[in-house]
Amino acid sequence: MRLALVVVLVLVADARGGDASRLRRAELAASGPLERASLDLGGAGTATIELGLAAGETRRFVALLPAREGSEALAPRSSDEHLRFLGWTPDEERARRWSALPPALRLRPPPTPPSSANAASLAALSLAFAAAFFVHRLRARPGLALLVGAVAALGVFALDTALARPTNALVVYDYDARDGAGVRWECARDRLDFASDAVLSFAVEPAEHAIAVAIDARGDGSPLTRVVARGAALSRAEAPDAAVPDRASNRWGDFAEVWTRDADGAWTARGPWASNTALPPAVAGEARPPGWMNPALPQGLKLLVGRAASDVRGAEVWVRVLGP
Amino acid sequence: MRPFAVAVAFGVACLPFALEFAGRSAWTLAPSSTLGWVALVACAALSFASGGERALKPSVVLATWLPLFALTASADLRAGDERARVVEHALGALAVFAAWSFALDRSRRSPRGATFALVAWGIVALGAPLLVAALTWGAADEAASAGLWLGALSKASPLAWSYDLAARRLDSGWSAWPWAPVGAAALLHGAGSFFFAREARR
Repeated sequence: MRLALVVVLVLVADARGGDASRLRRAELAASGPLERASLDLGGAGTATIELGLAAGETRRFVALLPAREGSEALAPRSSDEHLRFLGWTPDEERARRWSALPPALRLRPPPTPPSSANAASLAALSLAFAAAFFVHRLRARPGLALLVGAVAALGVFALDTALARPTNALVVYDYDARDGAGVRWECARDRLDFASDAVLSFAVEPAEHAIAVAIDARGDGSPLTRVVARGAALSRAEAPDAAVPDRASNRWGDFAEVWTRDADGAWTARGPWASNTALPPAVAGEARPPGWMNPALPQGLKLLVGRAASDVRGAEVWVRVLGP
Repeated sequence: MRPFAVAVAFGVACLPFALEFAGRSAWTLAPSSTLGWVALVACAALSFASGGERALKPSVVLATWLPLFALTASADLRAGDERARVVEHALGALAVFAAWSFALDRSRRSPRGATFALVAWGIVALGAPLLVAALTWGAADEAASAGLWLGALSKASPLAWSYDLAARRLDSGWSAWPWAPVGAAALLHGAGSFFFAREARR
């Protein structure tokens, strides 16, 4: 009975982790003149595509569109007849690569991105208030007031744009060293930008959120993709671009800080770890890594957690290695 | 628009920024765009506080709100909105605000000006979303549509905005404020009505 229950749970979990990507590759054809057009994919979301095609130009390309389970049966509605949806591209290769990952990597929830950092700059907000007050003092001269308001508006916009902080994103390399498999997660709140279309899986939390995808398909390279879902955590999984950090020789890169856990569950801080060197000895300091990096990981196995020495486009990079 | 009403409306309009500073996402108050929220509050304040002898001139009102419109446009860009969409929203909001401001300035010179403002806002705030709801829900079996213009008009209403916020299902720990748009409109209505009544007694 217990065995049957375990089998059922594994099957259910496998089905859940099998193919829940919220982005899928689709083939599109466009003919000019067409600057931009959008596709409505119902509850999955919308896609806006920048093309910049002149009259007589044609283009056939593959782009990542919003999807949900069962959405392959639906044909998106196009806002312009010059943009045609040709169909979803075969997804077997992506699904096969995703399914080939160990269940622990597929079923573990994606890392939680940091809180949104979209607050307006205090300087710009103060300038807006100061301008309003100044305009009010000029109320007897409406023309001058309007001029001052317009100039102040430009100043506020320029100041707030210049002082904008980069998105609070997070990159996590999650490895299972027992079979050398791994996945690279890139997570952010509200919006996520990327240039590659090599997406293994794309998760949206809460899952009910529809997503808006903006694709810049001008030029010949891979389309630039931006996914926007206000208030949602967005996570993109792809194959890792670096080797598993080996305790005997670190081939991954420089770490600013590393922690290890023994099979008996004891944590040890190791300090910085340079590339092409062996794991350094224990150092004094906080013995445990941040709690969010070791959520419900299996006991009885060795674990290595590290924070990379350099960020990627302002996003912290973390590495987690389970086993052997 | 009277100076005190401008101050109250400015405070209400800046709530999304206050939320962000407090570590909470602005979308819990302004689900589709911060610019939309500010334009909504500004137009509501304009509607209820443009009468009386102490009202500011339309160009002064416009100049007062321009920097805040610019700040909210920047906030929407930062949150990931497309540049073209933000420009479209900003120009649309500005045009509606300016047109509404000048129209009210003209209408308040006649005895029926205030009544006109209240009726017009009543149609936008209550009439449009209720008509859309009647058409789309009431005739859902017939797959009825409210039409593009009526649908867009209803989005300008705090009532429709409250519905959007309440309809969000949240698992992420954030919670939306479904009654905030209606509350903000009611507050501005109250402030405007208070000043109308006080001036009438004089």
